[in-house]
Amino acid sequence: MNAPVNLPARSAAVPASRTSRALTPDEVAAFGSELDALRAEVMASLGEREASYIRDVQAIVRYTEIGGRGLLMVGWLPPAWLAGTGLLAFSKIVDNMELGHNVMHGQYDWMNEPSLRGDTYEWDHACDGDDWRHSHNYMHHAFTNVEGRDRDIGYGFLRLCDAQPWQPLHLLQGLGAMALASLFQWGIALHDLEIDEVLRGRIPPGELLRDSRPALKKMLRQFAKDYVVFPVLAGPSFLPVLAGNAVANLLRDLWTFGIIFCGHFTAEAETFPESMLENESRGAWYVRQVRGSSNLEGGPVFHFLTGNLSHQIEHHLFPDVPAVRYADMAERVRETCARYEQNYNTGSFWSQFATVIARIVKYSFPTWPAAEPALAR
Amino acid sequence: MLSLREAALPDRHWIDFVLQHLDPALSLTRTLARIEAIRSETPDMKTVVLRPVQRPVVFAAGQSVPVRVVLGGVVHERPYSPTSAPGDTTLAITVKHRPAGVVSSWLHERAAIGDLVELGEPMGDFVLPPSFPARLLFVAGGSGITAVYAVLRDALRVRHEIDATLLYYARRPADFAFASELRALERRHPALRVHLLAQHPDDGTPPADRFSPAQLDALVPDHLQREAFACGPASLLDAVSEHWSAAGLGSRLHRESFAPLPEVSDDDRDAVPVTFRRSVRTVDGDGPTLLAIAEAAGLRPPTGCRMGICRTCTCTKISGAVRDRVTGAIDDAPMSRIRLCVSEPLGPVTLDL
Repeated sequence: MNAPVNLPARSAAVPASRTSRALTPDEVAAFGSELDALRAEVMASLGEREASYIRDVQAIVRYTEIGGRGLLMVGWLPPAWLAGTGLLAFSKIVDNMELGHNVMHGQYDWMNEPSLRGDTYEWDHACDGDDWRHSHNYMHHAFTNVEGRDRDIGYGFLRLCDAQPWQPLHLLQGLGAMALASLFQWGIALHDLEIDEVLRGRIPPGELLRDSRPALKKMLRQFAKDYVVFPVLAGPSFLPVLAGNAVANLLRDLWTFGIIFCGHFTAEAETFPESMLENESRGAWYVRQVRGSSNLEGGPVFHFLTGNLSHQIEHHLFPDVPAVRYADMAERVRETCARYEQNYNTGSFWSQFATVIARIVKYSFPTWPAAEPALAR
Repeated sequence: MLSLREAALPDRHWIDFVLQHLDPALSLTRTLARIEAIRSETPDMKTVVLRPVQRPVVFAAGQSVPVRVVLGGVVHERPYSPTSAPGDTTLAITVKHRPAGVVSSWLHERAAIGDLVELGEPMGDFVLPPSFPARLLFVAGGSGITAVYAVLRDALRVRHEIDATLLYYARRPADFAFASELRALERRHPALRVHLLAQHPDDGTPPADRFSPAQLDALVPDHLQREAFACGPASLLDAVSEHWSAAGLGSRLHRESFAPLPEVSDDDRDAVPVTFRRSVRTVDGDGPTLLAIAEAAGLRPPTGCRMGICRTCTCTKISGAVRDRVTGAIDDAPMSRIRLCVSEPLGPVTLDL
C-alpha cells in the first residue's frame, strides 16, 4: 500500500562512484526503507517542542529586525550603526534560512498555523516565494545535481562539472562567482526567471514577460523597503540607514552563498547524468541525495545560522521534516551510510569551502571526463 | 500594478506580532474571542459562551463557525453551530464531548473562563430560505440539535405564529439539550410542536421509535408540504434524504452533517499515482481522499474540519482530475485550488504539497 510508483517492484542497482561503492537492487531498497522508517519516526514525534521552537525563531527574527532597523535610525553614531547593521544582517540570515527556507518547504505545515504555512510564506528576500517554491523545492530538490535538470548547478553561468561544455568566458567565472556571492538575493530572484534559458532561445521572451510580474513585484518591494522606505523614514539618518541596509544584505548574501555552495559543490559532491532519473526508485533517490550533498560541521550556533543547512544531507533526504531535528537524525543517517559504504561528505566550513573555490577555479579551465575518470559520475 | 505603495505595505502577520505585545487579544488577521461562561446542557454537552474581542461575528442562524484552539503546538479547528441568536453580543456554541476529539475534550475538560480561542468565517447554507416558508419541519439527532435549534428560533423570531414541528432524537431523556427551552417555546408559540423521542429511556417510559416514514406519517402527516431541515448523524440523515428523494422533493430538504464523511467502498477504485511535488514523493494512492493518501504517505498537511468545510487543507493541484466527494463536481483544471479532505483522485494527480 502506498508504495512509490515511480519504482518497479525491485529497485535498480546503483553504480559505484569514486567515493561510494555500488549497491545491489536489494541494498538500494533496504537503504530506502531504513531512511523511510527514520523519517516516519521523527514525523510521528512532532509536537509542542518543535512548534514553540519555530515560534521562538519567528519572534527572534522580528525582534532583531525591529532592533536592527531601530538602531540604524540613529546610525550616525558609529556604535549604533555597527550594532544595527549586525542585528539586521542576523535577522535577515535567520529569516531566510532557519525560518523562511524551512517553512517554505512545508516543514511546519502540520501546525496549521497560517503565518507558518509553506505554500504562502513570504520572506525578507528579493526572490518571490512562489518562484522559490518552484525552482528550489521542486527543480532542485527533485533533480538534485542532475546535469541539465537541476538549474542550481552553477546557477546558469558557472561551470562546475565536465558535462557543462567549456567556453572561454568561463576563465572569468571566479569573478562571476564573487559577483554572484555579493548580490546573491538578486541572483536567485533572476535565476528563477530562467533568463539564461531565454537567452539560449529555449524559452520565448513573451513567456518571460508574462511570468515575471510577481517576481518583479517582489524585487521592487524588497528594493523599496531597504533602499527607499526605511532610509526616507529615517530622515536625517537617510545615508546611515541606506548603508546599513546595503551592508546587512551583503553580509546575508555572502553567508548564504557560502553555505549553499558548500551544500552541493564541494569537491566530493557528485553530479549525475540525466539517465540516473530513469526508473529511479525511492531508495535510489535517497542514494543520489546523499552522494550529491555535503555537510558542514560546527557548534549549535553555527548550525542555527545556516538554518541547519549544515545538515545538507539530512535536509535533502527529508526536506519536509523540521530542520531542528536534523542534528538528531544525522547520527542515524551517518551510521546507515557507513553500513552501506556510501560516502557521508562532511567537514568544517573552511575545509569544505576551500574545495568549492578549488572546484570553481578548476572548471574555469577546459577539463575532459577522461582526465577525471570517476569524479562526479 | 507595480506600485510603490503596495510594495511598501508591511505583512499583516508582522503587524499582528506587534499588536500581540500590546494585548494578546489584538489581531488584524484573526478574530479572537474570550470564553465568558461554560455551562452543562446534558451529561455530555456543554455550552461555551464566547465574547469576540474586537468585532462581532456576523452569521446567519444555522451556519457554523470554525473554532480554533492551539493544543500541543498544533492549531486544531472544528465547526460549531452557534446556539445564540445572530444579533447577540456574545456567541454561544454547544459542544458534545467526544472522548477521542481533541477540541471537544479541551472545551469540556480544560478550557477556563478568560481563555482565548480563534473564530473563523461563518459558513454553511443550513439557513432559512429568503422566501419565508409557510410551514416548517425540523429533524434533529443528538448534537445535530444545535443547528436545528438555531434555525427554529430564528423562524419563530421572524414569524411568531409559524406552523413548525420538531422531531428530536436522543438516547435518554437526560440527553435532550435545550429541553426546557424547547418546552417553553412550545408554550409561547401555539403552532409549534416538539416531539422529544428518547431511543433508550432509563426512566421507565417506553422507547420511542427510530426515524421512519411511517413515524413521520403518524406525527406530521403533511411533512412533504413543509420546508424541512435535518441535522444529525449520517444514518439519520441518509434515512431522511431517502424519504424526500423518493417523493421527488429533495430540494425542499435542507441538511447539515456534523459527522465525518463515510468511507466509500474501496472495491471499485484503482490506486492512482499521486505526486507530492514539494515533498518530492510519488505514491500509489489508494485512500478515499487525497488527504488520506497524503497522510498514509507520512505527510502532515494542515487540516481543519476534514469534511470539506473549512478550507484549511486547500492546496494547489498542479495537474490531474479529482472529484469533490461532497458536490460530485469534477475538476481537471491545472493549477486549481482544491480541498484535500473531500477530493478523490480520478487519475494521476500532482499536488503542491
